[in-house]
Amino acid sequence: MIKQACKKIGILLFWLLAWWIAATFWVKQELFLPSPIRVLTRLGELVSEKEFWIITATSLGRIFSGILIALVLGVFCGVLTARFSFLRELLSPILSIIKATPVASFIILALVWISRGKLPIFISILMVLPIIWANTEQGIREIDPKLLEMAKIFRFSYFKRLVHITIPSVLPYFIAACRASLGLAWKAGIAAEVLATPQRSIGKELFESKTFFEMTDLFAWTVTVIVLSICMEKLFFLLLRSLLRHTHTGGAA
Amino acid sequence: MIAAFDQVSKHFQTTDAVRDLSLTLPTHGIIAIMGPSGCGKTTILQMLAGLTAPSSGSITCDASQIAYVFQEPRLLPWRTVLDNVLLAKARKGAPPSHTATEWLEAVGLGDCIHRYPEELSGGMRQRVSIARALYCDSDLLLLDEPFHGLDEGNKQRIISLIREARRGEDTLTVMVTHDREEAFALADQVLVFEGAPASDYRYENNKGANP
Repeated sequence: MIKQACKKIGILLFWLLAWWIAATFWVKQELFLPSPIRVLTRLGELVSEKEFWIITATSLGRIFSGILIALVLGVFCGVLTARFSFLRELLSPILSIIKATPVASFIILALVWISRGKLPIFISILMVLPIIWANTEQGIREIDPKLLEMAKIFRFSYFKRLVHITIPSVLPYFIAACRASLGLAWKAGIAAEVLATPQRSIGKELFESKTFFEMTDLFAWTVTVIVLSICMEKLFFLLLRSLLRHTHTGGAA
Repeated sequence: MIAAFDQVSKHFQTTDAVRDLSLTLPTHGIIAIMGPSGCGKTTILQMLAGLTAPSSGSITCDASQIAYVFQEPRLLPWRTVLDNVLLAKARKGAPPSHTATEWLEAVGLGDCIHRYPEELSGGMRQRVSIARALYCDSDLLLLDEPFHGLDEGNKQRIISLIREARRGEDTLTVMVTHDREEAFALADQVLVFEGAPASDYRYENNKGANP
């Protein structure tokens, strides 16, 4: 455990050193590439301001709401389309369109339809929904029919079948979908904020940093997004694992 | 207990598994069904269990609880051995004659109750599925090649166990096997299909069966 942590810290320090060498000896212009020391110092200054926490919490809230809505909707749609083939055929073009349309097109279109504040939520939903939906549907369709026969013979109730067969069978697909989509939600959500510039948002800060050539600020906010994304992913899987352990459905996780 | 087939046929896409089968099984005891490969023995068990519907004809089965030992163990991989057995109990009311742990001990897996199926050998998993079926106290027990993967010692142990557990007047056990020795070691009567698809048959009484 400690060895693993030391290894990770070592890797982080290696890349910070590489960044510092590139900034100090190669690019040599802060306007293009500020050194990590400057960026971390600026981040420290930002963190000490109350406004930083308000902005961060607001962006986090928007993207987290989008992810949460998409998870619920995605599972619901996945269950429906796995169960009813006509719904699968009816809705599959929508799923294909969402998957194929560039995020930028969605952001620009959605800017016309919905308020700036809600745009990042909408874009996060669009990023996460198709992945969760498709994986949930696939997971349900791939449940081992032999186990379902066994459940039928031993007269498992609907609830028993759900808890002991359906959920553990779908879980690996759901977790893979979450792994693939959470990072995407952050990237697209922040991109939406940059284009929509809603009040008190990381995206707006990034946009203003770029407008005023404040590269150190740009890097500091980017580091904030990366840290938030990683922390959220870790926290999400920690919660999921603890929930599964609590409900005794975690064997497949 | 009534279990009967009336003019039953079962067609699959390219083949007939069962053709015009009329058969009334005894009300209790242990029956072994034998016959050449592909003659529809497993299909007969599946139709009796309600897992597959006949293409024509009718099946009467008034079992209130069925237990099934499949050719492969069909255990929940994310559940322990003990949980797999406990989950099979569906019938409410009368308490089971033996606890799940007792059945697992009886099949020689008393030390493995908290292990997961992937930690067991194929034969051990099959023994778990046998313990699961016996734990149900079902009135109809269906066994499809149940001794597949079992060594000789364990096979004899399980045969004795099933004979002991299923000697009641209100229980019927039907086993499908291709092994004549197994059939006569376990069953009171052996039903032999003459050819494929399953249609004509004859009974062979097992005079040497243990009481």
